[in-house]
Amino acid sequence: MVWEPSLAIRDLDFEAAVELGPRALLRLGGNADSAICDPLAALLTGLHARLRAAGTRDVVVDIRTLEFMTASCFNTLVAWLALITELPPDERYRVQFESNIAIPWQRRSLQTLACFATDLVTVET
Amino acid sequence: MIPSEDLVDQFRGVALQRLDRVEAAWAAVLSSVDDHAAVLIHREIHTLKGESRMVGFSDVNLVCHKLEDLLEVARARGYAVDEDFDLAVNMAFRFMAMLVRKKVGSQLRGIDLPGFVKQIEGILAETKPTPRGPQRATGPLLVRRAAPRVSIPMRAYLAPGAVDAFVEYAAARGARRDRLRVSWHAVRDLIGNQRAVIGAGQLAKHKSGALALARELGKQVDATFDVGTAEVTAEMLDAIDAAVLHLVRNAVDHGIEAPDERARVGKPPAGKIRVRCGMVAEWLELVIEDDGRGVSLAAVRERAVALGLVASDVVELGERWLDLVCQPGFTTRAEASDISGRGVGLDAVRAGIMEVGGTLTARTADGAGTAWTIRLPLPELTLQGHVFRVAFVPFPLVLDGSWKLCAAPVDGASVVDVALALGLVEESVGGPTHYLTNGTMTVAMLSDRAAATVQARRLVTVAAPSPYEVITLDTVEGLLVHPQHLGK
Repeated sequence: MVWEPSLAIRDLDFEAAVELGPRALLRLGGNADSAICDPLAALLTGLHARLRAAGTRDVVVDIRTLEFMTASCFNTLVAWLALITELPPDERYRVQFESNIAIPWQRRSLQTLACFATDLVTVET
Repeated sequence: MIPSEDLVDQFRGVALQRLDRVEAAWAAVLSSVDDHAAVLIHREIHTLKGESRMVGFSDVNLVCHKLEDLLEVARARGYAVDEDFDLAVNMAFRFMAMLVRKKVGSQLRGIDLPGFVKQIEGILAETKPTPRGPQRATGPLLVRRAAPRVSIPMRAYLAPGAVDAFVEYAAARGARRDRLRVSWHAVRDLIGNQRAVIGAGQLAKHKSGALALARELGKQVDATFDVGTAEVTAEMLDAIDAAVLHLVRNAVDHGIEAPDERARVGKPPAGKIRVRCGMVAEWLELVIEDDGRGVSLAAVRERAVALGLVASDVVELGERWLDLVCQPGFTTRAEASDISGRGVGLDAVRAGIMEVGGTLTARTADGAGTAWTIRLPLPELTLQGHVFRVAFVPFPLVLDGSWKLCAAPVDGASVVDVALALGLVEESVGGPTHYLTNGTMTVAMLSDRAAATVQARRLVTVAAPSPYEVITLDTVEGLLVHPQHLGK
């Protein structure tokens, strides 16, 4: 694993970190309020660029400690998925969400998100 | 019947624009009382529903229908909805955008439409119909919000700092970002370009005003207003409005003679006042002319000599008459009335026009009338450009249309990484590179997405040689970059 300090957000009560590798890991934790939207969108765009450059095929998004996420912030995840679906089929990578069943919003949101790309998105609890 | 490819392409473009507007309006409705936005959402979605049916996008039609159910619930609750509901609505917008983009007749590969509809139905089933907030009646479609403004020179002085404030705010995080957002919005509202559209509607009041004044003075006036439509700044509209007000009143009061006087000199009883406003090349030209008695240059000379503005041995004023009548307090009237005669009107007209970069000229003929011509430079408030989303830069970057995409830099030419040169990223990020040239230099934009052509609205304009200014793409703020000025 290679630590990528530029692919990280540290806010008062939100944290995002990336570990690149054959199976990349994106950890999101805390409260993602609307102030996080733009930095998160920038991080995801950057992550997408790195994953493409490295030819990575699998990404795990660990949101088990993500207590809250605004709709506008969640939209950045949808936009990220749209980026992936627009790639040529052989360049797409799969996204596996690791969620926390004890956090109610995650269940419905992730189920709905998976409807956008059932062939690319899986949700684990 | 299968719709033509052109029709589908047209639908696709219009539908995506509708969804952009609806998404922005939804955010506006949730963040503040905005009845206009609420009306727009329902209208746009309903229109999209009908259009999608017409071109055979039954999946979009279905999601529109479910979304209308969600929006009805939201309206009943006065748009006081929780995060889950907000998320469902937002995802419906995004889901539709994805459906709109897919090729006609293609399989919904990976897209789980029934699953998505089921999720929306789940939200609807769980949402109790009891209103949690007051239901609002539909309000006026146009709400003009007053904001303090500063003078144009002060705006030019503050603009570079305002652009830096935007960049700092957009790149900040957490509490610092919230603090900077407040500052940026305050500065933006103070100095940002405010658009207005001039048209017949704005100036119609002056026609009825002229006729009423003529009746009051026992005169007959035939007023014609021929006003085209143009996009201007709010300050320009104010200056034009004031100019028409004063010059038309002057024409009625000073220029047009009473019917018996007109009869004596062989003129028809009704005086003519004609107002024309339209674009002439890159200018907005406003002409106000009458067929009245004209400006008495003898009276102007006499008054100017009395005030010490002109030497007593000057016989002909020539072109100087205009400058004299525009002097503060200058009037040839012995007494001021409630209509005119204080010598304020023309001074105010010229000052207002000059403040927005315009000119005032006039010609007058003894006994034949006066024509005032105002020319204002049309502001370039909207421009076409290429938009890029660069990794780690939390706002779009736009290059104007003078930059052309090129396959690769010319051999030996130095290439500037725009985001890096602007200090928006600390190191050059990887990813696809798009080259653009203006004929003399080549720049590189490292962006995962190909450039799209957009129409950008200039929000905070900065005079050259600033390397950037703030623009908006619909509701999203970003930077218009002038790479030729980098490093200056």
